[in-house]
Order: sequence, then structure tokens, then C-alpha cells
Amino acid sequence: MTDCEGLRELMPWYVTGKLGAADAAAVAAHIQTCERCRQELAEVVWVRHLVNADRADVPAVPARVWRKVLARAGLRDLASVDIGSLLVGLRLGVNAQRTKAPVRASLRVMGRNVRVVDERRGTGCKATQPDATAPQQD
Amino acid sequence: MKSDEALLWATGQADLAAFRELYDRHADRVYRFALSRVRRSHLAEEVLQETMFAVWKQADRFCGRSKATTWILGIARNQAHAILRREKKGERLPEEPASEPDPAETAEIDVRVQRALAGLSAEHQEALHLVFYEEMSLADAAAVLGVPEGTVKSRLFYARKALAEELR
Repeated sequence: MTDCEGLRELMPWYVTGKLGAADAAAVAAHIQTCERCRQELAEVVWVRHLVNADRADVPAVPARVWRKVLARAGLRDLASVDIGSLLVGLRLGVNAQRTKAPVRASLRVMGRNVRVVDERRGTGCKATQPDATAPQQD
Repeated sequence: MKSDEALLWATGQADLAAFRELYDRHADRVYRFALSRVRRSHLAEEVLQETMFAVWKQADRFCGRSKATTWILGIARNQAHAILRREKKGERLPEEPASEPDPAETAEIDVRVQRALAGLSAEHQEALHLVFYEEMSLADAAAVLGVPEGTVKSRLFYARKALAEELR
């Protein structure tokens, strides 16, 4: 692809580093010789800066939203108790939640949840549990 | 650390701890994306709430054909659409006035830029956000927006031109 119009459409991904190697090389080579496209690239960089500056002051999500999500889903914490101290490397937690299953409970030991009551829902998709370490793919 | 896809699978099994972790990872992303569409914080909170509720309900339908982030932002986009449609119909009054931005909150940002961004169409705003702020690939942005890649390129191009024209 060597036409100016086609390359200009790719410039947003060129500046964010999300362009494939061949397209990125084509843009890089083209702007060496095309003053108009260099100006276009400068405009893309400027617009990217404006968008990101506009997002910079967005406050963190208020904690109340999580509580609203729980309420919306009909969920609530029935009990949550933490025993022990992180200072000595041991933290034991007991959790019970009202979920779509009647009740579930777990022990949390050293940051890991160990279920003691486990009732699973059926799944609409026949997918198996994904490998946590597998690369993500579309 | 578990992948987002593994957390979604666990959420589909009604694992509340996994759902909470998924929420913690994606709440800010969904909220900022929602804000780029609805421009008001109380509506963005509502989009986030409805999106995560939908994730809880539909996680067992996620089959891994797309990235978890793409799937969740796609839901957020639909929720933002629904809320904007409702607001346009005037089914409820806004909780916040659509007035000038608070100068104290925008000390570093040119109010003209905020106005120019807010004046863009919803399609242009979300495309700018996904590509420049989320730094999504062309394919991922197209998946979230539910349009061909050529349409994303075209929207970006015209959004950029409109913004430059407004601020020139």
C-alpha cells in the first residue's frame, strides 16, 4: 500500500504501535518523502494527546458501584471474617456469599480461595475451563 | 495470575471471588469507555453497573471466540446505547446539569478541547477512545464496535478531521 489516503487511515495505529510490521514499514518509508503525510502524522499525534489528556482527570470508579452491581445481581456477602496477620505471612479468611447457587463458602488461605461449598451452574457454552497461562486469541 | 478468560469461566460458575477480580480489572476501563459515550459520570456509573450485571448473567455464554476485554467492552457499548436512547426519550431527568465543566476539575485541560470532543458524534468519540486511549488494534476496535475494519478507519479519519477543524 503506497497511496497517501490509505496510509493516512493507518496512522492512528502507527502512532500507538499497533500496526503490523509491513504496514508500519510502509508508513515509515512514505513519510520520509511526503511532506503532506508528515503533517497528517503530526495531526494524529496531536489528536491522540488531546484524547488522552481529556481522560487523564477521570476520577476512579466510586466504591458504591460494586455494591450496586451486587444488589442488581441479587448478591450479598453473608459473612466475611479475616483472622491472622499478613505480617507473619498467614491470613485466614472465611467467606459465604448468597449467589445464584443457594450458598457458597470458601476458606481463604494465603490469598487463595479454597471452596468448602461448591454448587455449580450449568453453562450455556460447552467450553472447557481455559488455561490460565494460554495466550489469548480471538 | 489468572487470565481474564479463566476469570470469566469461573464467573460463569457463579464464583463471586472471580467476578470481583474481573470487576477490579475492568471497572476503570468500562467506566472511561462509558464516559466517552455518555459524557456524564452518573450515566457512566450506570453503564458500568449494567455491564457488570450482564457479565455476571452471561459469563457462562462466553466461549473464548473473542478476547474478554473485547467482549466486555462490546457489552458496555450496547448498554451505553440503551441508556442514551432512554435519555433522549426523556424518560428521566438527568441527575447532573449539562453545564460547563468544573474549572477546578479541569485545571490542566483546555475547556475548548472538552467541548470539541463532546461535540463529536458518539461513533467518533468511541472510536477515538478505543484506538487512542485503549490503544486497541484495528481488529479489536472493529470487534467492540461491531463494524468492519474499514468503517473504523473511516470513523477515526473523520473524527480527527472534525476535531482539528473545531479547534483550528
